Amino acid sequence: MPSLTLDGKKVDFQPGETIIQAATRENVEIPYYCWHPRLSVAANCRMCLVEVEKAPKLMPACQTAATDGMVVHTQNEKVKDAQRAVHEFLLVNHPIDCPICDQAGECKLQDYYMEYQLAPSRVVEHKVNKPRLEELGPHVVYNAERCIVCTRCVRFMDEVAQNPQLGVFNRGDHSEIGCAPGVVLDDAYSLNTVDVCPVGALTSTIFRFKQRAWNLKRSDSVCGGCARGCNIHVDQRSGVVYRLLPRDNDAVNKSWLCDEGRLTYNRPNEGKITEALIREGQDAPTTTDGVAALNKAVELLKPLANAGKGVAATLSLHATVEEAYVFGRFVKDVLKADTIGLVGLLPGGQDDLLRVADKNPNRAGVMAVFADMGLKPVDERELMQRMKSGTVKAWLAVGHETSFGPELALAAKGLEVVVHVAYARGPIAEVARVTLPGVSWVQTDGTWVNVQQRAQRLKAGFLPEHDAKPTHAWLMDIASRLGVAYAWPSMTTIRAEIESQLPSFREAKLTQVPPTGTQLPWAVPAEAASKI
Amino acid sequence: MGVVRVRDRVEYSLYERSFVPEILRGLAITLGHFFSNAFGNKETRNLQTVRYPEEQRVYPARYRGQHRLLQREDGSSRCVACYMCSTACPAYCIHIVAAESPDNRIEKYPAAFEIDLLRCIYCGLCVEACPEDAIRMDTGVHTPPFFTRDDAVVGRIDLLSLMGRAGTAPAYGAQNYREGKPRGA
Ligand code: SF4
Ligand code: SF4
Ligand code: SF4
Ligand code: SF4
Ligand code: FES
Repeated sequence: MPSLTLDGKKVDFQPGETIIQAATRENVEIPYYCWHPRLSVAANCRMCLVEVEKAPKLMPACQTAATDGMVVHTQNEKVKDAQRAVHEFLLVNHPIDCPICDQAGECKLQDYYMEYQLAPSRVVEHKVNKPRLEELGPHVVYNAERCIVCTRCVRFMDEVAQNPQLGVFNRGDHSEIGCAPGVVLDDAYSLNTVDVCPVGALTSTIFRFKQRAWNLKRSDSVCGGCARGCNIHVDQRSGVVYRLLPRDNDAVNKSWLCDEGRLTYNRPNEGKITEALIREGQDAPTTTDGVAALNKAVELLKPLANAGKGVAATLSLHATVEEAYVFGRFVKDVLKADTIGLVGLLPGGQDDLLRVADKNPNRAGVMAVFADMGLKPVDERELMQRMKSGTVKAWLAVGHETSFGPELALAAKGLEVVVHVAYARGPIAEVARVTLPGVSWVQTDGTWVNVQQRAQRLKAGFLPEHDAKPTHAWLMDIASRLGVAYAWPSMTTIRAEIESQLPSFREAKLTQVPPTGTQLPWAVPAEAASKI
Repeated sequence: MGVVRVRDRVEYSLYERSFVPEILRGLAITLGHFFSNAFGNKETRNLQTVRYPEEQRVYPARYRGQHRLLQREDGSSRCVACYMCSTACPAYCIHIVAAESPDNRIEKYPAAFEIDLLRCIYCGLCVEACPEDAIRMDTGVHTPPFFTRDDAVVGRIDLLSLMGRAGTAPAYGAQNYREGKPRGA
């Protein structure tokens, strides 16, 4: 293998790699703006200059191919001088309005200034003024003064989104990013440009001014926008989710996330319930104490559990594999429901990058659990039919994520017993006698299986508030009050049981899913293919 | 090892052991203070407290007092909702909700700016943190009394209406590098 000398250390590299790639692998930091590991090389910011022996001048590490025997210095005075100078140039026309800039706190200009420049400005001329509030598209606002014209956003649109809606206009210090006349940045992946922008030039209308970056707490999860299950970071403060950002996963979404997925950031906040709801007679539901609601639910479900007839139990396709298993056990051992239903969202927009038509993030997982447990689910239409014809008299609705909420609620109006577990107050909660507060997927510890048949772990980013509890905990509580005590002290025990009991998950290693997921040995459907 | 000291008990005389005269002596001292403080003039009083609000202490010249938000010439708040003060605040008592300003030269402004004066420890770190000189503690007024906890949370309008102590410059907007050019010009 060829090797080069990096700051006196011998570093091996693959033929074709650049200096910065070799250095990144060795954890040698070379500052960069325009380089992005997943985009082509533009080499226009000059922040990555390093000294290569025998070269007449400093070389950009992002563009210079590593060659065998090359001697590279990244720390000497010449390089440091260049970094200081380049950074000073980048800041010549920069407004430095960090107080009103959303990027502050996660801005490369701020970080590199502290690290590589740290000198007062020598500019006495008037700074070049440019447009500061240009709405490039429905989700992206552009501030030309803050832009360092690294062209990362342009290259993203060209190379990844394959929809060249952005370009560089004008020359020199008047250069700015924009759309050609009549073009708007309305691509389904437009918000990735905000992520790749190393400064605060591009901001997202959905996050703009809502919170400061340093106030947010980050957790890892999976996007619930569609069955692709892109890996995400969830940024939250005091239990309010402010944004979802892509988390790198080479096997699924690389570094990207579609706009539709990002817009689901508000699902965990909208209509969130953290206290139980109870409804008497024809009144609207009122909040009540969690234990009282649980007792009421048990009282309502007890006669049904004994009769075992005319009882429907439905689960949402947004439930985790673990929840599906607990639900399956519950309806078989405790409720003895004779109608099992699966509810979900209707198919939506898709493309050949990330988005798939199925908008339910765990269809594969829930279906596999149900098939293995011998449960034969019906869909919403059949369920409504049975409610209207009187075959179904009582309904346990776990999860509210369905496109048929209002219709189902209407059909369920005449039922005597409707018990609901949900994290948000939807149409079903309005007709339910008891609604127990669940938690959304960003607060759930569980596993989803995406369309590629990849098991991916959701992490509980923050604790449930008030009386809210994960679905499986509510089902276990009801079961124990109805005389069935499950011995699942933790999620791991549930996972271990799934592995040992369900044939499809025998090889799945559910107990040890790594942060980027594990591929399950199941047949991958054709729609899972992606050109990303 | 500690040393245990054994003391002889104090022997009281019969006069003391009867207690009554000593109790009366104590009452006389208490009542003496009570009457001299209740009716005596300010000089002869022997008290650390003042009869607020009729009498008020003179505050030292450098007393800061409650916060205020400074205004621009047009009366709007100079605050740009950057959250520096609330980040610096060790008592976590500044609550800001930022919003898009209708004036696009300003871009960002606080739709809500609240300080919980019951939590505030009057440390002044918010004033030091502010990059816009938008918050100051120079009103010289102390925290007003409250009847409920909610009253202790003062909002943007109240904070903007407070004035600096006499002699403090009103501090209107400093020159901005754009010199009044509208955004997008
Ligand atoms: S991009 Fe924003 S946060 Fe970064 S230096 Fe410029 S104004 Fe400050
Ligand atoms: S908007 Fe951001 S990503 Fe695009 S060229 Fe300017 S600095 Fe680079
Ligand atoms: S004076 Fe101190 S405690 Fe009070 S608001 Fe300012 S920073 Fe917070
Ligand atoms: S530091 Fe100043 S400008 Fe920033 S939010 Fe506080 S008062 Fe407003
Ligand atoms: S990162 Fe190499 S020139 Fe920009």
